[in-house]
Amino acid sequence: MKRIVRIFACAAAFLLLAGCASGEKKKAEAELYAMDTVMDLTIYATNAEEALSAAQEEIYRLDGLLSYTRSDSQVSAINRGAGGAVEVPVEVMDLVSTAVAISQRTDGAFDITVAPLVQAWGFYTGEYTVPDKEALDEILPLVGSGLIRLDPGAKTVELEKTGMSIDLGGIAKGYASDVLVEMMKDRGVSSALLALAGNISAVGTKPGGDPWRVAVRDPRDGSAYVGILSVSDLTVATSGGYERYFESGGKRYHHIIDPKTGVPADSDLTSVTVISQSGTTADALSTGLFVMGMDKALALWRASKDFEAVFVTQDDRVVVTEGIADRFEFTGQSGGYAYEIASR
Amino acid sequence: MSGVTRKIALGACLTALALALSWAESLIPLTLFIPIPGFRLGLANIVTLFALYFLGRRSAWSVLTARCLLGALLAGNLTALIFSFSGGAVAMAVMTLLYRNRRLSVYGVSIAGAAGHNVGQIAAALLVLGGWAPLAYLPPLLALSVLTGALTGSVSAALFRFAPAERLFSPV
Amino acid sequence: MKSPAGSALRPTRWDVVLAAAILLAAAVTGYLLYGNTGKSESLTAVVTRNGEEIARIPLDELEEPMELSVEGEYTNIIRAERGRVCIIDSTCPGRDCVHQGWISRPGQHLICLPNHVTVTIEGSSSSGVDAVSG
Repeated sequence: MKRIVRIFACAAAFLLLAGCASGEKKKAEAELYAMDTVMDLTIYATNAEEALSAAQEEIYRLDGLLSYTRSDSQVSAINRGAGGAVEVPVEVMDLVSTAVAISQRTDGAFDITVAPLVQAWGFYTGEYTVPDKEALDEILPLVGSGLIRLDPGAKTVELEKTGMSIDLGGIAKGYASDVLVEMMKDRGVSSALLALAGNISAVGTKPGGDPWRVAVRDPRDGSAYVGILSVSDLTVATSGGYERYFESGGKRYHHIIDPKTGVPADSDLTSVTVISQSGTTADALSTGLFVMGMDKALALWRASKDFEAVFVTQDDRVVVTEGIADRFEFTGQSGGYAYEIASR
Repeated sequence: MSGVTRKIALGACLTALALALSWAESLIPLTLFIPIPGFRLGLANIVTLFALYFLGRRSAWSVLTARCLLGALLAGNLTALIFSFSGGAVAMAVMTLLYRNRRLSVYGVSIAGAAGHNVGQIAAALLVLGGWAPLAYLPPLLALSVLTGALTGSVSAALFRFAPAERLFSPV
Repeated sequence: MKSPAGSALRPTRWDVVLAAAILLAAAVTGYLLYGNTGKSESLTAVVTRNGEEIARIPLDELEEPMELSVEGEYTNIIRAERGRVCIIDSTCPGRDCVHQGWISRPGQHLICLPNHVTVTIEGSSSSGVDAVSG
C-alpha cells in the first residue's frame, strides 16, 4: 500500500514538473484592416493572446505613423513640408534612410518619391487615367531619392522641391513585419505566421516543428500557385503588376510605376517574390526587382548575400535562385510553366 | 548484488538507454520520407522488449513508465506524456500478452507491439485533439508498424543472443 | 529455462500470420476510411465584413447561380455558382476585387479592401499551404 502511494507521489511530482516546465501552446489569430490592406496574424505560444494584442496595437501605431493617406501621419507631415526640412522621430528617419539606400542599391528602380506619378495615374483614388506625356514630364523632375535630404543631427527629412511627396507603402509592411517579428521574439514566441497582405513573415516553425508553407501565386491564374516555399524565420514578399491594374483603350496599366519613365514598368517579369531575413528588404526589393527586369535583378542577386528570389516571367518560366531552391516545391507544371534554377 | 538491487540498477540503465534511443531516433527526419506526424522507428521498444524477456513484466512496466515520465519532463510538455504513454501502454499490454507464446518469436511480438503503439497514440489523439481526423492515419501506420516492428524485432533478436540464455523468461 | 536459440529469436510462421493480420487490418480500415468518400469535402464560401461573418454559401449545393449583394461603405455583388464564387460587380474605387476572378478551392479568398469584405472558401488549405504570397 505504502509503495503504491509512493509511486503515485512520484508520478504526480513528475507530472506537475512536466506541466510547469513549459505550458501548453495556445493559438491566437486575428484578421485586421490596416496599412491599406488586410492582415492575418496567427500566433502559437503560451502567451499567444497577449502577443496578438500587442502586435495589433503596434500595427495600428505604425499605420498612424507611416500612412500616406492619413493626414496626421509623419509621412504626410513630410509631404506637406516639401521644399523644407521637417522634424521627424528617429524611427521614421531611419526608415526613409533605408529606403534611400535600397533605391541606390536598385539603381533607382525602387523609389519612395514616386508618389506624385502614382497619383497622376489615379491609383490612390481609383479614378484611373492615362496621363499624357506633358503631364508626366512635369512630374518626373520631382521624382528621385537623390532629392531627399536627411539630417541625423537635426533629425529632419527634407524633400528638396515643393510638389514632391513620398509614399512608404512599398516598404512599410516589410518594416512592420520586422518590428512584429522582434516583438514576438522578445515575448518568447517561437511559432507565428504574420501575413501582412502579400508580405508574409514566418516566425520559427509550425507548432509541430515543420517549416511554414507559403505559396507563391500564379500571376495568370489567381486560384493556382506556381510553387510552395518552406520557410522558417524568413519573410516572403511578392510584387506583381497583376495585383492592381486598370484597362483603358485595350491596354492594361498596372500600379508599379517605373520612377525613370513615369509609366508602369515594362518588365519581362509578371511577379517577383523576395525571401529574406529582413522584411524591409524583401518588401522593397520585390518592387525594385520587378521594375529592373530579370537580367538586372539576377545581377543584383549575384552581388548580394541577403536575399533569394522567385521570378515568374512573361514567357512562362519560374526561375528560382539556387539559395532557396531546396526549399521550393514547384507546382506550376499544370499552369504551363517551365522551372529553372538560377546559379550564382 | 541481490536480485532486487540488480533489477533496479538494470531498470535504471535501461530507462536511460530507452530515453537516449528515443532522442536519437527523433533526429532522423523520417517525416521527410513518410509524411505522417509523429511517425518514428520505435527504437525504444527494443529496450522494452529486452526488459520484458529478461527481467519480467513488472520491471518492463516500470522501465516504460519511467521512460515516459522522464521523456515528458525533458520535452517540457504534458501532451508528450499523454501520447507516449498511451502508445507505450497499449504496446506493452499487447506484448505482455504475447511474449510467452511459444508460437511467436520476438519478431512477432515486436510487430504486435508496434501496431499496439500506433493504435494507442491515435486513440490519444482522438481524445486530445477532438474530431475524427487522426483516424485517417490509422491504415498507413498499421501497415508501417509491420515494417518498424520487424526492424526493431531483428535488432532485438541480434542483441538477445548476447544475453545469458538462462535469464530468458525469468519469472515475473 | 529454455535455450533462446530457436524458440524466441528466430522468426516463426505465426509471426508472418500476425503480420499479415495487421496488414489486413490496415487494408480494411483504409477502405472504410477512404473508400467511400470519393467526392471532395463540401465547399462553403464564407462572407465576412469587418471581420464578422455575414453569410455562408454552400457552393456544392447550388442548383443554379445566385447573387448576394453586400452593403458597406460600397456595394459588392457576389456571384456564386456550383463549386465557385467571385465578386462580379462593385461600386468601390479601383474594383480590384472584381479583377480577382473566380475562386474554387479551400483556403482561397477574394478581398474588397475599401469595403472591408472578404469571401473565403472554407476547409483545410489545399496541399497544406499556410499562407499565399502575391
